[in-house]
Amino acid sequence: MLIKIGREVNLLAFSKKLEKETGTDVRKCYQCGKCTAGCPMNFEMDVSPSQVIRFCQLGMEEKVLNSRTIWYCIFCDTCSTRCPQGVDIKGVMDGLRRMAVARNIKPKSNVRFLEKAFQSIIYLFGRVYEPGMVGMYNLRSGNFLHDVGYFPLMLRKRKISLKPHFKRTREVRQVMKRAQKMKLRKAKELEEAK
Amino acid sequence: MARIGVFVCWCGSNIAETVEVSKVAEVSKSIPGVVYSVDYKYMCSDPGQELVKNAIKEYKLTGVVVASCSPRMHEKTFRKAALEAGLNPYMLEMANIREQCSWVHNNMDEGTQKSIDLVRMMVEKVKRNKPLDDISIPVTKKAMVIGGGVTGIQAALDIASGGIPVVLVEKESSIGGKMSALDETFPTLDCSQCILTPKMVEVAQHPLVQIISYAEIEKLEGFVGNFKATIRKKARYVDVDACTGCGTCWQKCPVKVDSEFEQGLGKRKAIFIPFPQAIPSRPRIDAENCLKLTKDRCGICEKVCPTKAIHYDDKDEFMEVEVGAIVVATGYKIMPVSAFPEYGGGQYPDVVTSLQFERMVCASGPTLGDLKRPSDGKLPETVVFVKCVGSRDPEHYHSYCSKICCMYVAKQTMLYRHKVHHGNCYVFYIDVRSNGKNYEEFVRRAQEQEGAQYIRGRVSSIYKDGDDMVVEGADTLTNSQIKVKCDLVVLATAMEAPDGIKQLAQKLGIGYDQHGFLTEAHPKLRPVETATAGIFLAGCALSPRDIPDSVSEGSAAAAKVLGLLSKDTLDKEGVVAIVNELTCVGCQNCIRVCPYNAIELKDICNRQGELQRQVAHVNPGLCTGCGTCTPSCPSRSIELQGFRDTELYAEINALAEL
Repeated sequence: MLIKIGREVNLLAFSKKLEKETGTDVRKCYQCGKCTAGCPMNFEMDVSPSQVIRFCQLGMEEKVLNSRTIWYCIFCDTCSTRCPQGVDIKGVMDGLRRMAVARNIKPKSNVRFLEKAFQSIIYLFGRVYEPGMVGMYNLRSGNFLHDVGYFPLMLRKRKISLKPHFKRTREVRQVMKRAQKMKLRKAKELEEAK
Repeated sequence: MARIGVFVCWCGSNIAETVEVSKVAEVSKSIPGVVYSVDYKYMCSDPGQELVKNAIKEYKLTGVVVASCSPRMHEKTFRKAALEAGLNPYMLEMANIREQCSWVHNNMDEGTQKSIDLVRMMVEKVKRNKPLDDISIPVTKKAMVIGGGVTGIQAALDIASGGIPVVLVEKESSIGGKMSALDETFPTLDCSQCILTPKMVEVAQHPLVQIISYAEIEKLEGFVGNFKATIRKKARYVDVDACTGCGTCWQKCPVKVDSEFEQGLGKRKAIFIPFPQAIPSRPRIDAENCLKLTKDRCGICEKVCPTKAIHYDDKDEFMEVEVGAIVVATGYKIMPVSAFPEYGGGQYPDVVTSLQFERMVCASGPTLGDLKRPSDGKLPETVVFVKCVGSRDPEHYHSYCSKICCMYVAKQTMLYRHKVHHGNCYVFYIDVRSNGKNYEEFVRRAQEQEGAQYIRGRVSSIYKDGDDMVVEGADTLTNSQIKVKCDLVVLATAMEAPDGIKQLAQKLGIGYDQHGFLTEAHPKLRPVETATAGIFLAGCALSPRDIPDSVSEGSAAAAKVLGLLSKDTLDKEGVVAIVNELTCVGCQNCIRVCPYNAIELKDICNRQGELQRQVAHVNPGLCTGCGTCTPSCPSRSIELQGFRDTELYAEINALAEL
C-alpha cells in the first residue's frame, strides 16, 4: 500500500472533519497500541483499532470507511477507558460508521441487520427478546438456520425463553421516537447549513 | 534644573519596523527638560553604551531615559554605563518601547505616538527621581543541603571542599538515598554501592560537613546570605553520641517488620539501621512497631545496650542553624504497583516495581542475589518488563516521561540474563529514549548481545492464570495482539515528587509545578536557581533525571553557593521601602501585609530615654521592593524608593496631559 503525501494532500482535513463529527481529536494518539492490546474483537478485525486511528491521522478516509473493523467494534469501551491520551476510540468508530452510512458505503459485515433487528425488538417489547431478535436477524441476513442448533441447549439451560417479557414499552417507544425526531431535525439543519 | 538625555534604540528592525525612531528622538527634544536626544541601531552594543556615557559627560546630564526593550533585559547594562560616566544609576530609566509597543502593534503611526508617550512618561519620572545607593548586607558563610542522596552528598562535598561549612539534613536515618538501593548502574554496570559508599564515607569524614540525619526542616526565616533554619530532629530513641553502632540491639530485637529499604521484600527489626553501610551507622527505633513504645513490654534493647544509649523517653528536638545559602536536593519516589489495578498491582505479589527488582537481584538484597519470585520463591524463567507505567499517561497518571526507565530496564534485562542464562525476557515499550553518552550502545547491547526481546506496544492488562502471570499486550509493528505467559512482571513505574515536598516548598518560599516538582528560575539559563535568591535546586527535586545528571547538578548548585558565599557582603538594589517617622502613627498595617517580614516596630524615645511612640521600620536587607506596603499605609508614610508617589503621579500626569 502506498501512502501519497504531497502539497495537494491535506492530512489534517480528515482529522478535523472527524473531530467535528465525534468530538475527538485523533491527532492526540501517539500509537502506543494499548487499545489494540485490550480489544476483545481484534481477532475479527482486518485492521486493528490503533491502526484505524493511524489511518485517520494520515487522512486515509477510504481505507477506514471500507474496513471491517468499524463494524466489528462492540463499544465495550476498554480502549477509550485505558487510552493514556484520552482519545475516545469507540467514539471514533461510531463516527466512522455514521460517515460510512451517510456515504452509502456497504458495511463489511451483517452487523447492520443485527442492529435493525435489535432496534425493532426493543421497539416492540421494551427489552431484548432473543429468539425474536435472532429470527429477525436470520431473515434479514438470508442465513435462515444460523445458530439455530444452539436453540434447544440454550432453552434447556434457561438462557433464553420462548415467552417475551414486556417492560415499560410505552416509555421506551417514546424515547426512540424522540431520538428519531432529533436525528431528523439535525439532518435538516445540516441540509439547511449546506 | 534637570538636564535629561533621551536615547532611542532601533533594536535592529525589532523596534524600527513599527516605530519611527527618528521621529521619537526628534519629538523628545521638545519635552521640557530634555537637552539631548538621539536614535541608534543597537543601544545595548558597546558603541551604543559609549553614546550614553559620552552624552552624560558632554551635556552634564542629570537624568537619562533609554527607550528600548524591557528593563528586565538591559536596565542593568545601562545603569552600569551611567555609573561609569559618573551618574547615579538610579537616575536612569527605561521606556519599554519593544515588548510593550513595537512587538504588540503593527501600525507605524500609532506605534510612534505610543513610543513618544512612553518616553514622555519616563522623562517626567526621571526628573523627580532621587539618587539611591546600593545596600550591602552581611553574609553568613555557611550552607545547608536538604537531602542526603547522591545529589545532596555531591553538593555538600563540593561546597565543603571550597572551604564553606555545610549542614547536611537527611529525612531518613541514613544518607545514601535511592542510589544505595540499586544493584548496578547503567551504562557501565558499576556496582552502585561500590561507587556510592566511598562518597558517603568521604562526606561523613569531612571536617566541614555536619550530617543531621532523621531530621526535617521545620521553619525557615531570613533572606539570601542570612537564613535562619529551624531543624526538627525526630525522636530516634537512641543517643547518637553514646551509641557505638555495635549492633547488639538489632540482633536481639524480637520484632520483625517489612523493610522500607528492601521495598517490602525483606524484613528489618523495630530497632534498625536501613542497610549495613548506613551513615551514620546508628540505629533508630521505629516507634510504631516497637513493643516497648506501643505496649510497654520487651525493653530488650535497653538491657543489652553496652553503652546505655537507648532512651525510650526521647522527644523531637529542635535546633537552629544560621546559613547563607541552601541547596534543595530532596529527590523522588517511585509509584507503587498498587496504583495500577489493571496491571494486577497490589493483587499479585509477582508484579513488582523496578526498584523491588533491583533489590531482588542485588547481592546485598533480601535473598543475597538469589533471584526468586516473591510468591513462591521459584526462579523466574520468563520475565516481562513493562515501560511507561504511569508515565506519558496524562489521562490517568503523569504526562511527563520519567526519563530513566528506558535505560534501567535495558540494564535490568542484562542483570536478569546474567543471573538466568536460559531465561527469556521481554520488554514492552512505546519509544526507547536513550540520549546520553554510551546510552544507545547500551540499549543495542541489551537487544543484540544479551537477548532482550523488545516489543513495541503498551500493555493492556496483566492477570494470573494458574501459576503463571499473563501479560496482554500488542505489537504495533506487526499489528497483532500478544499474550505472554511469564513468571514475573516488572513495572517501570513513574518517578514522582516525594511526599511532603509541597509543604517543604511552602516553608522555603520556593515554587513547584502541578506534579510537585520544584521549579527553577529559568529552565535554560538558571537551571539550578530558584526565584528566591540564595536557595538552589539539584537533582530529581526538579524533575526525573539519572545519576550523572543529578551529580552534575549537585556540583552546579555547589558552584552557585560558593560564588554567593565567596563575598563578605552582598550588594542589593537600593529599591526598598522607607518610612517617614514623623508621620507614621504605628498602625502596623504594613507589618501585616509584608510578605517578607521585613517591617518591625521601632521605639521612638525622647532625650531622657522615655518611650514616646512606636513607628514602623523597614529592614533594608529583608525588603525586596515589592511595594505591597505602600498602598496599605493610611497616612502615606511608607514609600518605595525609586517608585515614590510623586514619581508615579508625574508619569501618569504626563500621559494625561494629551
